[in-house]
Amino acid sequence: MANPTYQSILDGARELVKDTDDPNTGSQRFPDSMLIGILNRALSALSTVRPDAFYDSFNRNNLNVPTVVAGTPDEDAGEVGLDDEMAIDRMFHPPLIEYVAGMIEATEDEFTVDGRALLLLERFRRSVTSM
Amino acid sequence: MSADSIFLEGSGCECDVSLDTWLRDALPQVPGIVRSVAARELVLACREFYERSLSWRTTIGPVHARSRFLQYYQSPYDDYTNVVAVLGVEWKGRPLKKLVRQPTLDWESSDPTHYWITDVPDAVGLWPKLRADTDNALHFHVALTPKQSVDHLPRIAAIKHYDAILDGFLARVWSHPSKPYSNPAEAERRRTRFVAAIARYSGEAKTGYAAAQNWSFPRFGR
Repeated sequence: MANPTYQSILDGARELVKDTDDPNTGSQRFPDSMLIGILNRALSALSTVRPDAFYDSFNRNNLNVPTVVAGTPDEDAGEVGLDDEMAIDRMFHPPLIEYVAGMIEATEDEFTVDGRALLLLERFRRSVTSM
Repeated sequence: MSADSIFLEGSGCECDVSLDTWLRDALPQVPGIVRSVAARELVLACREFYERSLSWRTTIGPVHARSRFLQYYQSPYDDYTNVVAVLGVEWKGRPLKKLVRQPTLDWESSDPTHYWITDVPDAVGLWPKLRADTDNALHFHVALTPKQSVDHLPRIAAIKHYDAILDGFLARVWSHPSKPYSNPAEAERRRTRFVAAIARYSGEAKTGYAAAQNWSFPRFGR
């Protein structure tokens, strides 16, 4: 079974924050560039609490956490594209969506519901650890 | 009964048990584990079991003996297996006595009487050194362990040591820190059972798994 793509994490996060307008209309509240930045921070956060998630990409004393980019990825620099399949187990897909959505809520200062950001970030932490 | 179900040594079936045999039973007990980490821990548990218990044994030989040939390295035994200990050496069917270090006397003989373990546990030397080449003179009784790179485990692991290896695997993964599947108390209990199984099967292996005596009368003289 194919793994979800990195794009699907962003799509899932947009669903949670009700930002699913057609991107071609220019009416999306949060640009892809912002969500990609959050996604890359999510992967870094995951690598600190669950380094085993990147077990298969370990090479040369490095976990090799990928960097998601919008354009054509430079594979030699450890970059992956939005349409690439996740290089980690699909069980980390829901927590990554929750992290991205939680961080979006945390940065929102106009329409945010305070508790949602906390709830989503807490769900991320509980999903991947036992702490 | 059909003889087709009997495998021949060296046909490659000695390590034909898939890791899935254990993982299917174990994965429901470790929710949230990365599959490749689970597979790795399973191989390490299996390797630890055989390295400590020396309960997977075989005889290598006959091997040609070469004059003044210092050391006989046994590993790798095959693509899947390393030798973890040399338990005995026979010279023309006669057991040699074991020495715990290399003798300093540089003697030669056409009939070695002793063998000594080198700085690595899978290599032995003969003493006195052999004076002339002798074909088919040596047999090595050795203990085996799976290589760390294997994706299949030995048949004896599934036939005889299944529960012990499962205990060792669960003890390892449940002791991982701060994972959804972490369970230190249960890990300790499984670890205790694993260590007890190592002792039990170490003893059984010495009897050849046939309740035989684990000693023999010493041979006197030559």
